[in-house]
Amino acid sequence: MDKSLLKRISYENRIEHLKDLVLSYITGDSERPSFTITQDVDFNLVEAIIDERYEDAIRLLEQDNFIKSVCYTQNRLSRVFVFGKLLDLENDNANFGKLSLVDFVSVGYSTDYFDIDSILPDGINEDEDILVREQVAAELDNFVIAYYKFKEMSLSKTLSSIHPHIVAHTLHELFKILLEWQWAYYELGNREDVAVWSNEALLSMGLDVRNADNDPVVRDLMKLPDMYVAKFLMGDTNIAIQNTDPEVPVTFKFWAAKKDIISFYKKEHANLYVDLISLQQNIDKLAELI
Amino acid sequence: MSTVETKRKAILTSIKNQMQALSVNIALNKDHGPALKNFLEGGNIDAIIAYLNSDKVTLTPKDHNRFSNAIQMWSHKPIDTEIEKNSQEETFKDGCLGGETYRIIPMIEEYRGTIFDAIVEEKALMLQKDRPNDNLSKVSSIFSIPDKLTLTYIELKSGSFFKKIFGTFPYAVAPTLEESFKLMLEWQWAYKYCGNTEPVAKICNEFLLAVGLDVDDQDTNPVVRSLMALPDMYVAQYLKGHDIYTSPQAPEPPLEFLLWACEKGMFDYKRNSGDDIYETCLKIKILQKKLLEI
Repeated sequence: MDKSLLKRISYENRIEHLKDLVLSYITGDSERPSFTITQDVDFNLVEAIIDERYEDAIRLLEQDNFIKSVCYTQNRLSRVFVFGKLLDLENDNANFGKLSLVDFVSVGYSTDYFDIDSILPDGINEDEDILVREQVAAELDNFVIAYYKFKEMSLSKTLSSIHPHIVAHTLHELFKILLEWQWAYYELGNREDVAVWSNEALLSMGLDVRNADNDPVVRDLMKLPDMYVAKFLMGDTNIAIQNTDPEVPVTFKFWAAKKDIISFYKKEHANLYVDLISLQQNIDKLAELI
Repeated sequence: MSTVETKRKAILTSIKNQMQALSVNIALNKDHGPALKNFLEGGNIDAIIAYLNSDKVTLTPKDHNRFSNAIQMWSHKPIDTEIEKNSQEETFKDGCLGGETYRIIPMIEEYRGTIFDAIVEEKALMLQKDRPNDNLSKVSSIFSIPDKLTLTYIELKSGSFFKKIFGTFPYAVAPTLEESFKLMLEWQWAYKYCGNTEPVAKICNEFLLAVGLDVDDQDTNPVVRSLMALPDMYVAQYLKGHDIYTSPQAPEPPLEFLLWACEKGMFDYKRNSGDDIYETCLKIKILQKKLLEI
């Protein structure tokens, strides 16, 4: 039998299996946790699954849960993701929950290099102007990825010009920056703190820029528009990045959900989200074959 | 078990879940619960919907003269903009609702000062002559997106005045809410696929996107799909080269649209706390329809 036909049959079987699997969230027939219909969004979700509108179902889950990192609805310029290292310096009680924006920077990164205050417009009031301040990737041992949402304001002016460029408007762009630093670490021997820490953090999450050919997550992240490090290395003097959110790679969503980097308000939705993305990926792959 | 059987089971499970939710909603509802309990025991969802329809402040009652009420789309203007003399806006100014920063204006006023001026004047004169304002029974705002568009329900005490208005330029008035949305989707279609950038097309497109409706080639959104299955409204009739026409018979409102509109708060159920019961009934009807379609 020719290989492409085998591949096709394999995808078709996998799709059928995954379709049954996502339906089992409704019927309660498998090991998957079933959900009851108590809220509007659940009905829309059920409807989308029954109608085989899987992209809609994924979108509904993103809207209904805390997936700010992949589902952006508010003004791009009023939110940032920040990467940093937690150092147990003079503050023995250092933990994210107790850190203020400035404290976070002071224990997370040398203020000689980086001061997050400088990305904020003058006159910002931390209590009034920061609407959300949350830790995104809870599983990272020594590092922090933090999400900040501000009241309507533009953070774009200074954001692009601050060394060491560990701030981005979206989570996938932040990961692109970390990968760029990791690339600088291996290919250019860059040993600045930010390059070392980016490498450590990425390796702890199983991401390695040297695997770009084999790892679809790394490959798709590296296809995102150039961020600051790449722009600098390419001699691009215009370091301003684009004004719109680049599309989130599906492989990244899938990986982030499985790694629990994206957190869900409803725990039973986390597995469903992963299964739905897997199903949609298989459907897309089959479509490519046909 | 095949996927079709699994899907059937999923729908049946969902219906069961919704019936449980309905049972709880009815048990907790002091206004309607006692009256609806018997219908629920008989599994008569249609009877529950009919009961709630008779109780609600309805938009288009079945036995009503179809041409004495209308849903009108209104554009928005900054509140401090001067009102044109002899304009439709002046005619309607007492009933023109609005927000803190804007007031609503008839869509045709967006065309003032363009090649459509003669039509604008002609319509203004007709309104001055027919004086529908003297015959108003009810005007209420149904839904509004600030700085974009407002939908109002207008009901006259008597007569068939709207027979003259339906299907006239700029196609911004329709007999029922579902037909209004169908008409707006047709404008959006003209905007997206025919390059029509006249004000009403642009405004409808922005409004629909803001409420999450986007017409596309495949009608992938179930609410959009259900609306697009309704008979052609004026833009589609025009584009197809047909005579502009309003059927004397109201089309059956699509379940998917009714549920969506109810969730958006476009009906007056909240007042009688019957909205949750009505929505659950619609969900059950939609699921029953899906079961038949497998």
